[in-house]
Amino acid sequence: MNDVIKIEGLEMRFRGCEALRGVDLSVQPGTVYALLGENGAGKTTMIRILTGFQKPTAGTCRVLDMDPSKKEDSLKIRQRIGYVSDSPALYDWMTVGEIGWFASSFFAEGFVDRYRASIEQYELPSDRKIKNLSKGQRSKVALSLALAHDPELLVLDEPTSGLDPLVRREFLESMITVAATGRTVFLSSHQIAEVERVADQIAILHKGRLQLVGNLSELKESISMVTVSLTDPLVSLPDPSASSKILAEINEGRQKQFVVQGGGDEAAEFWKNCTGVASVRIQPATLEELFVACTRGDSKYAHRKSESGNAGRLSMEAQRS
Amino acid sequence: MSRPTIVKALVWKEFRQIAPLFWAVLGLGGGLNLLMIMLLLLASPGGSGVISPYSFIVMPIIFATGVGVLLVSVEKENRTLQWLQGMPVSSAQIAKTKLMVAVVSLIATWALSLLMLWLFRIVFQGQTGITKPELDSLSESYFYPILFPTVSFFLGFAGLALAWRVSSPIYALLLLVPVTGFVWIITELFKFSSRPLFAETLDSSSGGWGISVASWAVGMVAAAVYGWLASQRDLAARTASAPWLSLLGESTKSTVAPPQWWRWESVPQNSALLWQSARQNWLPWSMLTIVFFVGVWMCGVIPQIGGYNDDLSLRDFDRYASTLLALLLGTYMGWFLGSLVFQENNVANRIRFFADRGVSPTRVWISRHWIPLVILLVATSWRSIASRSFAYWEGFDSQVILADSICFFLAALGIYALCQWWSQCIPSPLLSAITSPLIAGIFIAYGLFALLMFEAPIWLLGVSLTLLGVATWSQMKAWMDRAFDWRFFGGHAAWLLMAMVIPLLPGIWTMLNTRGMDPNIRTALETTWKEGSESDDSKLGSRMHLIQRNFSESQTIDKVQKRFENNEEIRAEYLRYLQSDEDRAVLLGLRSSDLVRFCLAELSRSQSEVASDASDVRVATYRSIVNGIYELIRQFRLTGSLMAQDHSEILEIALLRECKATSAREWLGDDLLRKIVVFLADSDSRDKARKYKLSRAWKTQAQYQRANWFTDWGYDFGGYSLPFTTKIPSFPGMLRKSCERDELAAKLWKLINSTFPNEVTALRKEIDPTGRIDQVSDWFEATAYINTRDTLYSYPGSHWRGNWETEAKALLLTLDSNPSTSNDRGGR
Repeated sequence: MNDVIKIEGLEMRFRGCEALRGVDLSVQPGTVYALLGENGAGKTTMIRILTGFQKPTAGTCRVLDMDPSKKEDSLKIRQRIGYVSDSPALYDWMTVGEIGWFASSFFAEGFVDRYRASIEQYELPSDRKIKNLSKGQRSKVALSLALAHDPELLVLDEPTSGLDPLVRREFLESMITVAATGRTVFLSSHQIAEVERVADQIAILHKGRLQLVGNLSELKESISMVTVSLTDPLVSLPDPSASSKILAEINEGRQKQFVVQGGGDEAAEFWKNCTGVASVRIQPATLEELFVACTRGDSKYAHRKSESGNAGRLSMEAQRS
Repeated sequence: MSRPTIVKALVWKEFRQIAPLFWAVLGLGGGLNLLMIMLLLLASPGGSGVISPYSFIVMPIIFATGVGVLLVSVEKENRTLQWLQGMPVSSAQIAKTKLMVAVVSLIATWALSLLMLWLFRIVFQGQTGITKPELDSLSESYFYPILFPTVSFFLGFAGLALAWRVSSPIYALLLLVPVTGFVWIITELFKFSSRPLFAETLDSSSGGWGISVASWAVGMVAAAVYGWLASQRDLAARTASAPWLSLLGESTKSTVAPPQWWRWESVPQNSALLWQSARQNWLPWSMLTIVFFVGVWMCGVIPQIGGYNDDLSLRDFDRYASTLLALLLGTYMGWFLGSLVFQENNVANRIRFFADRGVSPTRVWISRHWIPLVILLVATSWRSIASRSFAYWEGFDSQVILADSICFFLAALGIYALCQWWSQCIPSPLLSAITSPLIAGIFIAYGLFALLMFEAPIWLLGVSLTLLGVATWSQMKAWMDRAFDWRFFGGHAAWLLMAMVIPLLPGIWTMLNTRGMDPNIRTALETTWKEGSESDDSKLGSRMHLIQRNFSESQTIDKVQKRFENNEEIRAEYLRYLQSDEDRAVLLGLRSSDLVRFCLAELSRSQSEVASDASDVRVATYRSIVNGIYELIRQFRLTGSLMAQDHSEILEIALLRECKATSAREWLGDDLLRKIVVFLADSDSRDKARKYKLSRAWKTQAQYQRANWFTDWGYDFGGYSLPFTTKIPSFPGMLRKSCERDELAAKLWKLINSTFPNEVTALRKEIDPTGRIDQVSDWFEATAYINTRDTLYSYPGSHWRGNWETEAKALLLTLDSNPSTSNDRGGR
């Protein structure tokens, strides 16, 4: 089956900064794909390129086997995808019902019925003007609009922002349902715990580069957190064997924490035998720890990773091993 | 809910978006026109051509100015256009729909404006269709009627193009004015330069208008094409930065070094606020200033091109047009500076930044106004310098230029005050900016209304405008908190009400303090009028009231006599009427003043003839003339106006003089003499006639004024046209005038009823208790001094309670004490 999204060597430069630096990515159909990254990592830029709002500086990008940078393709893509931007701007003078009626003109039959069902599910008053809705209610309207034409691919930029916990949970569960019907969900989010609950695949973007890409459950299994207690904070530790990939290192006084991909036990055993090491503890890494490690960890490893290719390729190798 | 087509949904959305502007323009424009029509109708009652189509053209022009910007810029600023782009709809479809809606709505505005004009003409003038002068002006050039629609479509398309090109709605609107001005100047220069070309082949007027229409049409097409290209570029996907940027090293910088000013020490709050205001608005302020400076410079330079040579001078663009243009530029500055004061901070709730940090609203308010006011002062200085430097103020000295500069500043400041107030009242920045000119127009019309109808001193309008400044200050906290609730709008409404009422206060005060008539006198006048109305002869009175001036010292009897002698036939005819009992009534058809002059002239001549040679024929003629005058006086008492009554009293005085003559008994005969003296001494009958004439004059004038409140300012009081202190048709003026009339009637009534033996004591008691009248002569007595001393001869009751009345009674007593012999009864 063809990838729903296929990105190769994507670069995006703005005046004064590089938003994306050679990103490779592929999204399989029927998956919930989460793009994680801190503010300014380049998530929204990537989504804007995917939806045809922005033309990349370099690289290729295909969505549903079409090129979003081409004008004619971008319209077809928008017919088949549902997109919610990070801060959806709706016509605030329209009512909830009117905006659904208005948007239905752009899609095939059935939009209105699905939209009505959605707003009823979210308990949105159809005769209330959008300007009189709360922030969360507006987000629900935007989501309802994005879902109402039953899209093959949902592209959601921070979709749960502003939603209350209950609705957030309902929404994320509905994403699993969407994926179960063979549709694909591509979302960016800060809500790591929630993403952890629904995502099949994750990608962590940091300063325009993908730091980590892979199947979430496999990543969680292959990555461990090794905490080394030193007798002297000035003691330097050698790198473990080649089968253990250190993704990040966090120094806290006499403690060093390593995020290790593959061979965590071997690495722990290796450091235990080094001089100046008081004790070594190993535990499975959470997604949040992974995220922190990839975005806040020692930059020398990130640099090393970028030298060795890109993160996608690295993770694929890790998975194969 | 059935699924609409894309076109239908987009058109529905666009029309809903422009609906506020559409209704605001029609509502405010209609209101403005209604106000101006009412004002003009009040000021110029019954005037034809009051409702000008030009004032209705304002509505589509204003709408055209805003429609493009509203359709595009607002969507860009609210980012709804971005949402729409996320839908599967092509950029061409979006742009086409906006263009189509702009055209259709503009046509609809034109149609409704013209419909409004048609309805207003029917309602206020009872006129349908086009007037003759308009038809004549249209026949002068076939191009003229399509000029304004062409200009409006240019404005609409140019507005759309600028809105696609520029991100901020205010900037787009701001740029529209110089762009339009540029096209206008090009048009005028083209017209000027091609004048010799079409002068030989075409009618110059038609040719000129044709070139104007063609130029604007070219501009319109260019704007539409450019707008289309700009829209497609704007709606297309954003392109990546140019690859060469990476060569410069810019794109590889992931972090930027902190700028130098980060190391500055903290600045005072006022400086920070001023810096923020300047930084935020420097572009529009700079644009405004540049446009103004260039415009004023051109106003100075263009009139000098070619001097006053017929071939080269731009005579159509003389110094008056330059002055007007400079004033328009000042208005433009005031408009945008005022609109930007609050709305630039309103965009994206920027003002919340200050509100969240507890910055004093007063401090923010002052910092918003500080720089715009400085800009206005700088602009005024430039206007003054330009006026002096370019020397197009031919014949004007430095004082005039100073006055011009002050007027310019105050006008711009007034517009600024209005627009800054309006920009705070309307939460939508664009709607407030677009409709500001209409609000300014409404205030100007209201100001004229206050000036003309309530006699407001002009400085009070300044107070009103200042109050609008105070209004924005008082509502500043609510505005900063974005608390657009009933308190906010109610507060603004209250300040507006205060600003509108203040100019009316002096007029209202005058009206409240205008004393009414003594109720007893009013009742007496009413009663007298009702009692006498049964024998009313208004026909005669109406013919009598035409007199402008009464008999006066300057018109001596000799001169009058000479006038009649110059036409002996007429004189002989009139004399025959006077002497004949059957035909005497014919003389009542003359103007009473002419009749008095004629009678006095004939009496004088006849008496002179008798005095020189008292032959029987001459005595008989003399007697017949005296008797004729006596009969005329009797008829005057029964009928005629107040003025005719006064004129008859002049004849009574003349008869008394004749009766007092030493030879009167000889020339008149005892019977005639006694009959006349008894008549003259009967002051009760005379007073009754006076009272009735006075009451009728008072009542008729009151009725007329009530029925024609604003239509006639002639003041017909029993045939007298009296000068009053009020010269303009204002509400207090009308009331004051009524009171002056009542006061005059009351004083005259008191004079008739005074029991004082002579006019001096009566005058002192009833008319002039303060003693301001220095001297009272026999000729100009009593009421002649009411209200003004300048027109002594044209006031009613000039001879009432005069010495002659006492003399008549004394003469009767003399006659009674010296009865004549039976031989003398028939005289000679």
